[in-house]
Amino acid sequence: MLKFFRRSRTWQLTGLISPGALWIFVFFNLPLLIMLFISFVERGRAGGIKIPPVYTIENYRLFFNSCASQFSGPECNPFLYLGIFGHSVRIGLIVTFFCILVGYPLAYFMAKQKQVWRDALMILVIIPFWTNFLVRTYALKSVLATEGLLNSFLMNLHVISQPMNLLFNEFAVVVGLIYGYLPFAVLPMYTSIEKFDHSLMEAAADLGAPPVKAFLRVMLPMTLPGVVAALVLVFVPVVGAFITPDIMGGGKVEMIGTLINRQFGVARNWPFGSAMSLILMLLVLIGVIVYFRSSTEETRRGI
Amino acid sequence: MSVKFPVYPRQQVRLATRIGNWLLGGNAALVFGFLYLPVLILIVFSFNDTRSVAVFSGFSTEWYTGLSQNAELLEAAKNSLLVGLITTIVATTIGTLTALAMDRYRFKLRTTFDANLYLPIVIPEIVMGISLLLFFNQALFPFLQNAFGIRATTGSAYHHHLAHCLRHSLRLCDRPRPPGGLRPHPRGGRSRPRRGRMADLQTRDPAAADARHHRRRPVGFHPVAR
Repeated sequence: MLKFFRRSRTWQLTGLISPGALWIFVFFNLPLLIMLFISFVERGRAGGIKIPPVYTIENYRLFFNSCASQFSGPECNPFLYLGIFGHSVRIGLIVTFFCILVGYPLAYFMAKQKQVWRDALMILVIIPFWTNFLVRTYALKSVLATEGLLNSFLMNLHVISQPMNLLFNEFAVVVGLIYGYLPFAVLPMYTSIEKFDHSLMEAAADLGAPPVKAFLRVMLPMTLPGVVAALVLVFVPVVGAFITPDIMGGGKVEMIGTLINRQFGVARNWPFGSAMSLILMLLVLIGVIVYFRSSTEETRRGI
Repeated sequence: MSVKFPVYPRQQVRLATRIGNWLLGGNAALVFGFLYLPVLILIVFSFNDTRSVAVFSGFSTEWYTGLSQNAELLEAAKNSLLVGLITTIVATTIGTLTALAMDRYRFKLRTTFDANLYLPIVIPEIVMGISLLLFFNQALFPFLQNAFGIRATTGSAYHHHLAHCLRHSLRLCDRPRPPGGLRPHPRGGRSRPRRGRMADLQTRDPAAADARHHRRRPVGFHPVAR
């Protein structure tokens, strides 16, 4: 038996790869396929789907025209769901922008340090990864709350006379998402900045490039794969986020994630929820394709 | 005709560099403050003797004694540990195998497979969670019920977690190899020099071997394999 594996590389490969491939197929691809199926059938009365299934594309139409539902009244806004989707994309763009704006200099700062400091800072960036997402979000919430530390601190300093409403609005959601996803942005950018050869900047300076120009023409293009990775790793999950908008937005900020969540909860419209999930999946796929196009296997390592 | 290079006074360059370094350091300090202050505050106020997380009125460990007497919470903590343990073992095992396969072998649709492994990381949590819930409640459990008569209920959080961790464990294994790590296998291997494609893997020059390793290799090719 062992001899058999030793001889045939095809069988070695099969043996190594099949557990992982099988797992991913059964617990990741198959569920998505089932979701695809459910998104094309009519809803059941109390959640679930109609049995036997009746095929329809109504769920997708409903997304693009929210008045397609039989329950819609006369003053219905046909772009309700598209608007929420657009709103999510807008929040995603803002969060990604700030994560990269703040994360790139941080990654650069880290890469410049001595090895010991570099490792220490690296651990500081990674620890939030290991910390429970809920705990961190609630921690931030308690700081921003009306009777929270920030408000009482500012009031003690007499900067403000009465507490500000920092929670349960879009600002809070954006801050919460940046808080949650900043480490995702820093790590890939750090990986590519660390690999960047800084003598190239000196060479650019010797050839007469002012620092800003040298950065824009040499360093930025060469570290771009890391930036693109950060963009994808932050933007895609943020657009579909639903825990943070729920906690920081207090149900007042609607994002596509919370909307999907509601379809499987109180709204009991599984097929519509599935359809929206798959539309979101499309975004994810585009993101991953962009990422794979812009990176080589070497640059993808370490993420 | 001569190209005119701009000249920057040394003083000016030094000042700019210093300001730049200060800005970078300030940015780093602010970011780490932003990331850690809320959690630190939470830790500090967990020793507060009132419910407030804004005014520290006195030191007490009452919340921790309350914690240790809450049976439900301890039960939940036990469950978390168990799930964590099982997840770690399974994900690390499968992840290591897959990472080995991805690193040492070239096969058809390799990049597609790689992308498929990436998806669970970036996929929004809601899509992952819902699709697994549908899978368990609509497909797997009815199937188990019909085929084997097993009644099962949802524990899907655990499986979702595993799929996610599998990806992460794979990333950790998927590090670049140390340079010069690709010599011929110490046990056995060929005695006469190789020709053609595998020739420079037998040379003593680790850099050449490493460069060769990172190039695209044909299906079923591996320098260490006998």
